[in-house]
Amino acid sequence: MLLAMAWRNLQRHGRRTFITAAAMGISVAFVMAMLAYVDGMYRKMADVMINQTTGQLQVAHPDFATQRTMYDTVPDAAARLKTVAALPGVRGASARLYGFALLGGAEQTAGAQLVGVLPEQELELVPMRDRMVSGAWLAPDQTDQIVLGEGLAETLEVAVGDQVVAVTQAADGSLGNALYQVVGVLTSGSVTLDRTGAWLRLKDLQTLLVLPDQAHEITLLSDSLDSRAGDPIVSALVKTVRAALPTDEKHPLSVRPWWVVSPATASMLATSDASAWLILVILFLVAGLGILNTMLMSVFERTKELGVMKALGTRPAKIVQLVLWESLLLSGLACLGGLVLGGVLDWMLVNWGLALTTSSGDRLSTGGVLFDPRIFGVVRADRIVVTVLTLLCVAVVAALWPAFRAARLRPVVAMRDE
Amino acid sequence: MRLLNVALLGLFLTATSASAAETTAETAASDPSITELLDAADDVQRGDHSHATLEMQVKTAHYERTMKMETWAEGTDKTLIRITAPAKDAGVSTLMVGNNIWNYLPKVDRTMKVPAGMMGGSWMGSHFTNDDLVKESRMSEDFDGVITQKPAADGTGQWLIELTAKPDAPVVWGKVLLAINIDKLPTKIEYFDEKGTLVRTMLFTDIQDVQGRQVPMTMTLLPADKPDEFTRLTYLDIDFDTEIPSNIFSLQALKR
Amino acid sequence: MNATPIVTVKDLTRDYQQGTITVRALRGVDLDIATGEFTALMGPSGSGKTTLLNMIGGLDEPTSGTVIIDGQDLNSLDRGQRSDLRLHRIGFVFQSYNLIPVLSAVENAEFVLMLRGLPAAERRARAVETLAAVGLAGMENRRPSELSGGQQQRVAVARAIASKPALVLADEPTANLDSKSGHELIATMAKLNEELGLTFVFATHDPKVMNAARRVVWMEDGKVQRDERK
Ligand SMILES: Nc1ncnc2c1ncn2[C@@H]1O[C@H](COP(=O)(O)OP(=O)(O)OP(=O)(O)O)[C@@H](O)[C@H]1O
Ligand SMILES: [Mg+2]
Repeated sequence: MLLAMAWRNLQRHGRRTFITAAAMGISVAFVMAMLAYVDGMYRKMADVMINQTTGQLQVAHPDFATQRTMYDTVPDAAARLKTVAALPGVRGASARLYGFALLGGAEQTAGAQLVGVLPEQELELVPMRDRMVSGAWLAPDQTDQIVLGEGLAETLEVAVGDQVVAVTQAADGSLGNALYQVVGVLTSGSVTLDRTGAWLRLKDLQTLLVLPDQAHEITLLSDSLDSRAGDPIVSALVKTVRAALPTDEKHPLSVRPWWVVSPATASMLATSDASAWLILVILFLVAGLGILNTMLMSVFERTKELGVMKALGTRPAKIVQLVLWESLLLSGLACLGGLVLGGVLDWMLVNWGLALTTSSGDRLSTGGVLFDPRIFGVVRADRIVVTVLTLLCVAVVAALWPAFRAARLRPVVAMRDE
Repeated sequence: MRLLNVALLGLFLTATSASAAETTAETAASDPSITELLDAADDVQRGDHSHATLEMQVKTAHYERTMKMETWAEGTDKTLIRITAPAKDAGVSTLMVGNNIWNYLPKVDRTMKVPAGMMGGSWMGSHFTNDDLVKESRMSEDFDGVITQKPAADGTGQWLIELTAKPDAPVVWGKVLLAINIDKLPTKIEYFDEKGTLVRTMLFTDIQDVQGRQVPMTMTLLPADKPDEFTRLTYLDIDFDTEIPSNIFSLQALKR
Repeated sequence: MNATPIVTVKDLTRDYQQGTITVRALRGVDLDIATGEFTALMGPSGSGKTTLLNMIGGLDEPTSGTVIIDGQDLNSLDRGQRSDLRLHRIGFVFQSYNLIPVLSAVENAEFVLMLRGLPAAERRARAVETLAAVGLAGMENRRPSELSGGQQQRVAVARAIASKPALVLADEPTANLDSKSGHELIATMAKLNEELGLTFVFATHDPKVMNAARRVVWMEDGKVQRDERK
C-alpha cells in the first residue's frame, strides 16, 4: 500500500514528476554516453599508447627501457620471437630495433629515429596501413625500403619514390650508411614520432647498425582489452613468457608489462579515468539536487496530509519509507527512460563514432599523442550498472532529509497548516 | 678548442695567448711569460700547410678498431680527412671548413653536411665529437690563465698552467690544466667541467723532430668516466712543406 | 453506566505561548468519559474544545494535569508510545480534508488496519464492511475527490471505526456539511454507538449533534461549565 501511495503521489504532480524524471533520465543517458565515449577514448589511447607503442608486454634487455643504449639488445631475436609468438594467449608479436641516424634527402638532412620492424608482424600491433598518408607500408620481401613520418618527410623534402641516405654510428664503431627508397609516408599517431620516425625492415636496420639478429624489443599483445595497470590477463602472460624465455647472465632479458615499461602512460590513463568519475559525480550532484528539491516540495505540500497520517498513528519510520519509495520510484522511472535514451546514444557512438574537433585543429591530442578525432564508443555493462546504482543511491540519500523532515512533523501543528 | 687540430697540427693554444698576456705581471722577469710559452706552442703549427697520414685507434667497451687516414690542412680552419683503412670505411672523407663539416660516403656516393643538432655526436666512432673537430673555443675571452708551476733551475719539471673559465662564459669546460715541458711543448691537457670534475685527459707523447719542429707524434684522449676506453692518434708521416692545391677543400674535391 | 471510565481527565491545563502573551486554552478541566458514551463537547469558539480533544487523543501535551486512557497515563508515554496508543485505541474524525487524497475510499478506510499490520485480504473485507455500515456501499473505489463532503466524512468515520477503537474522537465532523449530510452522518454514528457500543466524543457547535448526544459537556473559557446527561 505504501508503494501504491508513493506511486500515486508521483502521479499527483505528473508534470513535476515528469520534468524531474526527464532531467535525471537525461543525466543517466548522458553519463552512459559519456562513459561509452570515455571508454572508447581509453580504448583508443590504450591502443595508441600501449598496444602500438610499448605493446602490452615487452621482452627486452633489462636496461633498454631506461638507458636506451644501442647495445642493450635481445640476441637471437628471430628465434626468441618465434618462441614467444607461439605461446598461448599471445595475440600479436613483433620485434623492433631502434636506432638514431642522420637522414639526408636531396637537399635537407635531419636526425631520425629509425625503427626496424618486421613489416607483417608489425601490422598485428599497429594498423600501419590505415596511417599511410601516401605510398604503402613496407613490403616484407623488399630490401632497402623506408617509410617516413609525415613531419620528417616534410623536413627532408622528400616524397614517395625519392631516395634518402642514412648515416649512423654502427655498433662496431664504423660509420654505417645506406641508401633507402622512400615507399611511404605515414602519420603515426604521435606528434614526436611523426617528426622523427622512420620505419624500415628489421633486417635492414640490423645491417646498418651492425647488430646482426638483434632487436631491442620483442613486443607482445595479449587478449586483454583492459587499459588499467595490473591487468591480470597481461600479468599472467608476463609469467608465461618469462617461463618460456630462459635467460643467462650474458644475455639478461626482462619481461615487463606495459605499466612497468611506461609508468607515465599508466598514470596518464589512470588520471583520465579519475576525470571521468569526476564528471559522474558532478552530474549526479545535479540529479541529487533535483530529487531533493522535488521531494522537499512534495513533502511540504503534503504537510497536512502527513499530519493526519501521523495523528492516525503512523510510525515515523513508515513516513520515511513512503518518501524514500517515492524518490526511488521517481529515479527508477528516470533510469528506465535514461537507459532507453542512453542505449540509443550508445548505439550511435558505437556504430557511428563521434569526432570531437579541437579549436586548434582537427585532431585530438593528449600528452603529445595525437588521436584520430573519431572516437567509437565502448559500452561496458559494469559501467551501466554502476551508473544506475549510483543514481538510485543518490535518490535515497537526497530524499533522506525530506523524509526525516516529514517523519518529524508534529500532527497538531501539521494539521493546522493551510 | 679544435681538439683534432691539436693532434693533427700541434695547434693548441693560439686562442689562449691573449688572455694569458694579461697575467704576465705575475711571472718573474727572468722566466718566460705565459705569452711566450703559448707563443712557443703556437710555433709548433706555424706551417700553414700540412699533409699527414695517421692511425686512429679507438677502444670502447663495445669495440676496438684501428683506422688509417690521410689529412690535408691549410691554416686552422680548412681540413680534409680521408679514411684509407679498414676497407669497410675506406674512402669516407670529412671536409671541415670553418665550423662546417661534410662527410662524403662513397658507398652511397653522397655528401652530407653534419647538421647542428649532431655536432655533439661522435666522429667516426671515436671519442672525439664533430664539435671537437671544428669548434673554436674563445679561450681569450672565456678563460683566465695562471702559471702554477715552473720547471726547476736544473731543467727538470715543467710548466703548469691553469685556465679558469670566466664567470658566465659560454664554455663547456670550467677549467683546463696544461702541462708544458721545458721545450715549451704541451705534454698533457686536462679538461674539467663547471663542477670541477675531470672529464677527459689528452696526452701528448713521442715528441719528434719533423722538418725542424718539435712535434708530439702521438696524442691520446682518455675519457675520465670510462677508464678502459681511449682514442689514440699516431702520426705515421707528417709533412709541413708540401704544396696543397687550394681546390682540395671543396665539395667537388671531397667526392674524388 | 459503567464504573471504569475509558477517559479520565484531571485538572488539565494547556497554555499556548503566542509571542510574549500566554494564552490559557484550558484552565483545569476535570472530565470522565465512560465506555459507550456518546458525548458532545459544546461551547463558544475558543473555549478549548479542540485543545481538549487533542489532549485526550495524545496529539498534544498538557501544560499540567493528567489524561488517562484505558488506565494509561499519557504523561508517562513517549511520542512513539502515544502514536501506538492512537493507532490501537483511538479513532479520529477531523473537521475536513482528513482523507488521504491518493487513496480510494476503501483504501482510506483500511489505512489504520494496514498500519496495524492486518493481512491485506482481511483488512479489505473489514473496510468494505465498514463502508457499507456508513452507507457507502458501492463507492469503495472512489477517490476522495470523487466524493461529496458528507461522503468524505463518512469515509473518515469508517476509517476511525474500522479498527474497532475503544474511543472515537471527532472534531466538528459536521461543520463543513450541509444539513442533510450532517443529519445522516450523526445518525450513522449514533447507530454505531448503539449497535456496537463504540464510545464517541465530539467537539461541535452543531445543535444536531447536541440533540443526538446523550451527554453534553458545556465548555467556556477553558473550563467545563456544565455537564448534562439525558
Ligand atoms: N497552537 C496554538 N497557539 C496559540 N493559541 C492557541 C493554539 N491553539 C489554540 N489556541 C488558543 O487556545 C484557545 C482554545 O482554542 P481551541 O481551538 O481549543 O478552541 P475551540 O473551542 O476549538 O474553538 P472553535 O470552536 O473555534 O474550534 C483559543 O483562544 C485559541 O486561540
Ligand atoms: Mg476547534
